Amino acid sequence: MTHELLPLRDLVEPVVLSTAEDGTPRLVGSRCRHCDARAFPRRTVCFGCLGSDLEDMPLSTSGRLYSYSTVRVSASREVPYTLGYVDLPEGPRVLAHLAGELDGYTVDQRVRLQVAADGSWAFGPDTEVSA
Amino acid sequence: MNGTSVHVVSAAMIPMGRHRESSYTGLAVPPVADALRCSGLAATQIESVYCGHAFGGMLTGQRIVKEVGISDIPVVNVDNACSGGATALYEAVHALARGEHDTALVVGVDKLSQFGGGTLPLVTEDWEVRQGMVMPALYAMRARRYLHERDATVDDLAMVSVKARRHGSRNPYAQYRKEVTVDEVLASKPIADPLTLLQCCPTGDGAAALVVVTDDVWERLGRPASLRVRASVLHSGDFQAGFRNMLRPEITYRSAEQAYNQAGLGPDDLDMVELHDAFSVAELVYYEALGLCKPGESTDLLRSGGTTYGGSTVVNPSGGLLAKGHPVGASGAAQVVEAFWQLTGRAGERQVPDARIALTHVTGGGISGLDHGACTVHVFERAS
Repeated sequence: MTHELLPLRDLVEPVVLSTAEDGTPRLVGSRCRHCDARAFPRRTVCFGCLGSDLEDMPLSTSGRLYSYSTVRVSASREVPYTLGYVDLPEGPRVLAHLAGELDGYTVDQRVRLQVAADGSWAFGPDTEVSA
Repeated sequence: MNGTSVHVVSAAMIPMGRHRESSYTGLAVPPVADALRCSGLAATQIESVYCGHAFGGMLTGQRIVKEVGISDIPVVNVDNACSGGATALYEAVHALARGEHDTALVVGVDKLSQFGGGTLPLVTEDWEVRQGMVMPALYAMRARRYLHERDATVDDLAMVSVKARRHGSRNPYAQYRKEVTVDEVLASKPIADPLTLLQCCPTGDGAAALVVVTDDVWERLGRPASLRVRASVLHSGDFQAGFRNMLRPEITYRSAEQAYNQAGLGPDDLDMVELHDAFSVAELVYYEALGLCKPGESTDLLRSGGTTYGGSTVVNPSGGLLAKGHPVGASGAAQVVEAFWQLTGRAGERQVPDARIALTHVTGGGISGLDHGACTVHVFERAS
């Protein structure tokens, strides 16, 4: 008997936020139960082993800003906006918008997730840790 | 390289720029016709066509070659973003080396003026592109990291553009032929901090054509001055969902290493390099990746003048993508045109003295999880 192959529905905007038990919102990625490959945003198929035994992986709300840039010319959206690569302790690197002052960042600083009432998310300066 | 040896026996391109009254066919037919005429082969002796482009639409290659008396033979259209033209050459070289054909026409062509200007339209199915990623932002983050890790300033980034424009001022095929100063580069319009307009390749239109033949055909043609292909390498990059060192682009490191192995040559043997300087910082990072200096020493290499005339290896004598222009699918083939002119002594006032060995390098693409989606490296030796 053959089984039916269906396409991935990957154009459906992925759910990227979940709520921790204490009520704080977090980004959520995927972890493969078979090979431990980790990714953000969530996936339905593991890029490491092609398996589909993936679990949701809540991600830390604080990470390290690898680099960033304020974009002043863009084909895709209104400018200016600031993008950065945020490395999270669970492994994934997240391309994120950075909130606040356009030039108020430094390489390797700590940044923390901010979620607005409308569900939009960005990272901003992490004032809770000094490391 | 395995198999029979392969030669580029003719090469041609149009000046890059905004050619608003020209279609893809209109851009490509003049260099195709010129390369055919200079090859010593009739159009009917071409056995295969490989056409690289990113935005030409369906059957771009066929739309071109039907105008020059080439019909019936296989025409393969190749998209590999900015590596399209070089990937077309890669396909041709390996098909000839395997003995599938004896002759091939390679075309690289693109028309970016159709988008009006601004950043390259990327594929919006990609997650990072949907978050607002554009190519200048990717390179700007690389530049920010470079300034953080290296003993370098924005003046060093600007010096890359100054050198490119100085070289390009002597190239009648360059889109930008006016020299600029460090101050002018840094004062130009901010695009993606810390990159300014003059540190970004222009959008424009271009086309380049190459005729490639086996060693036997080259002998039959009377051993004309040509480029012998010593290495032809293509890589697609290593997917990473996590940390990536943006100053160590693994796709170019691997491609260069394989190319040097294939050629039996090393970076010290190169007289000239055409590398992928889409943005100023890229040239510095690629000095290291191509082995022109040790990792960490690219700023010193630029400052020393080692990559301009009088230095050990002239990098981007054409002006590179920053000055010559970067119609994406055309660039990989246009780099080989420059190598052809330089190694056959036809580069005019920008001639690299007695150039014998050249390397061309072009990457491609901006998609999540990859440094780039394509990287093509070729090494050529003068033959005559």
